[in-house]
Amino acid sequence: MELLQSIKESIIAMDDQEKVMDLVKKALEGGILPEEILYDALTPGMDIVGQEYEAGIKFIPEMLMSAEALRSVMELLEPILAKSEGSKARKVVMGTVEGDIHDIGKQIVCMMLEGAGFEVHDLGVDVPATKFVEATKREKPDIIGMSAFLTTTGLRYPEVIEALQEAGIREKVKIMIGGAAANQKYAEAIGADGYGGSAGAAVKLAKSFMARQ
Amino acid sequence: MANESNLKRPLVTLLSTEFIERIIEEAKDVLEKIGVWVENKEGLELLGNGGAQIDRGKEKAFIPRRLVEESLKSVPSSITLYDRNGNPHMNLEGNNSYFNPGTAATKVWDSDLNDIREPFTQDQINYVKLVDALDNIDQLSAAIVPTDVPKEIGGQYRLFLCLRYSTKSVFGGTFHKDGFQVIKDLLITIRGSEKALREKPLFITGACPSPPLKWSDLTGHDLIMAAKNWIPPVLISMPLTGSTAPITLGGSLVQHTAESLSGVVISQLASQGSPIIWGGSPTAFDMRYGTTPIGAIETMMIDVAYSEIGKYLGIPTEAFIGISDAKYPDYQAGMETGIGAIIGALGGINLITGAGMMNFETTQCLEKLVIDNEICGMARRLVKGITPRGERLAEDLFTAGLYEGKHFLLSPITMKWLREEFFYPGPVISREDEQAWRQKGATTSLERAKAEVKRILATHKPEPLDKDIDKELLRVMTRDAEKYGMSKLPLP
Repeated sequence: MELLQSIKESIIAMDDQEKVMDLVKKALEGGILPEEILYDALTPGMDIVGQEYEAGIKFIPEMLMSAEALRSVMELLEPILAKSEGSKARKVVMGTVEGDIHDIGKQIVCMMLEGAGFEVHDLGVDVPATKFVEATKREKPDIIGMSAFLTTTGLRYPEVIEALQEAGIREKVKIMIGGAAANQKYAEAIGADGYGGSAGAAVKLAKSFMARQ
Repeated sequence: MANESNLKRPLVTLLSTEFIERIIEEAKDVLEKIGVWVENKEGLELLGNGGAQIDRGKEKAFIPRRLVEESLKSVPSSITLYDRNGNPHMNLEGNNSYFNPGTAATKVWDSDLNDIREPFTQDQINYVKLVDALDNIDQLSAAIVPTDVPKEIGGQYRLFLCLRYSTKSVFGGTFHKDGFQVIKDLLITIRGSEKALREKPLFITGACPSPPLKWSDLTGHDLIMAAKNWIPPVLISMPLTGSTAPITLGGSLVQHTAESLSGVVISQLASQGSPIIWGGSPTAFDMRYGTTPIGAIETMMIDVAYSEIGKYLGIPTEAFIGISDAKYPDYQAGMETGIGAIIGALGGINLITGAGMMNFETTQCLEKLVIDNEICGMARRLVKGITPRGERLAEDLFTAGLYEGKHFLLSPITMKWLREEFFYPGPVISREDEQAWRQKGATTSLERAKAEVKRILATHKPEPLDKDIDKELLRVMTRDAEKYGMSKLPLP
């Protein structure tokens, strides 16, 4: 389909949101299914952008531009994607832990996750354990991602995990942690499901969680 | 006789006066029109009472230029720091450059492991003893955050260990609002009284705005407490170009200036005339990896440029420079640190924070400290410049007999200047000839650094503290640890 190819190329070319949206609307009007747009144009397009970024051909702001375009297209497609498809968005709740206000890394991860087709709920910064629990009960995410940058706030991760256990919902989510305050060993020690040392690593981890399900 | 007008302190500058003034004006525009977020209640009050327009709902302060200009008038242009014994040892002013190690490392590089690991109390003790012995590192940083004590006491515990094992003054900080009082108690134990501490400061602390344009509750608190107690805070604005600050170096400089000016205003409103240091840790955000390279050349350029602005405003300066992003003490580590230390010194930055640090700003390495000590030695020698010596510079050439087939080695003038005129590095920098080098084992610089670390730790005896003072320091520290569940500190 020429239109599907154009959409894919538009994502790769970092066209602005309007241009991509126009193409998507045209495709929908022409009778192309939203699932086809998602799986045959958007996802492969974003995969290539991801590869280009990993290869150092594209830089972060360029990759995020494609991700932004994809995010706004997803807002349009979400309500009309067939519910039975299992195309139900994979959901992530993200937050920087209590006492910590560093969030540029988390923001990049959020945008990349959206670019990879995840539905992301960003709780912001300085998020206490109770708020993580509340959000998990409310949104029923597949994954919780936590970020911390300071030595002291790295302490908060086990608190959140404990709070989730006490609420009886720990088993329902995969937990990934990131940021300078942690590492793989620490993640294992506190019972998290994984550690991402960079935004790219976080997205890979999130995808691997979904693949196992 | 040295002719003073011939003496030139080598300096590198990146900004013209016009450019400096343009950046400052735009920063003042930012403070007036965009304002700063101040999540600390007291800070917001101070600004409001000082004439800033406050939006309480958004926790924002719009600072008029008049208030900025008034505050700049009362800031001291010179800060003298004293060692543990009360002797003056650092004059932060003009183009005087001093070196201290990179601070707040959460990891250390272990030479036996040949890898990075988490640090313990003994690592901080070894580090303090080492820095105490190194001639070209002027001051301590409370460098390593030990993991074998409760995190809440980390800030003050590092200082406690610095005070115990060295006489050098300390650049530290606190991670917890309650930590400040303990730090004060430790310092007063050394000095004897609050008044004595104020007269002879031996500690400077960090005050970090969050980019862009925000003072959090904790950092606002740190700044105000420091100002009220006349403990010089180092303003550490840290724009990350293109991610938490404008991407152009000029744009990030405006943000740095605006954040730092807001810090100056808050400090002077909290305590007029209190000392403050115009510092920072900006980085040229790497758009490929999303990392914060402290060894990037643009990072160093922003450091020098913002220091020029600080000097223009008449405030002592500091920068995190002379650090490497390498994860191993290798060529990259040497390259980035060497270039950074030299650029920092040529920039006339008063306090050059970085020695020993690598892996961005996360890891301290004793071997690298020893290597960096020699880099700092080179930098110090460079900024001393070329001093005209003697009535006739080449007196020897005019002295009959010396140049007629003879050599200068035996000249009395050679004897007079041979130590003062040169920096003699070693043992890391190898100057012996190849044969001698082979005889000694054909070692690499890292191998020589490792041996030197071992030698210093085995032989250097830091000046001990007075027994009663030591006892009191221990009491203060133990009491604080008990609050967080630790009844006995993990001391050797």
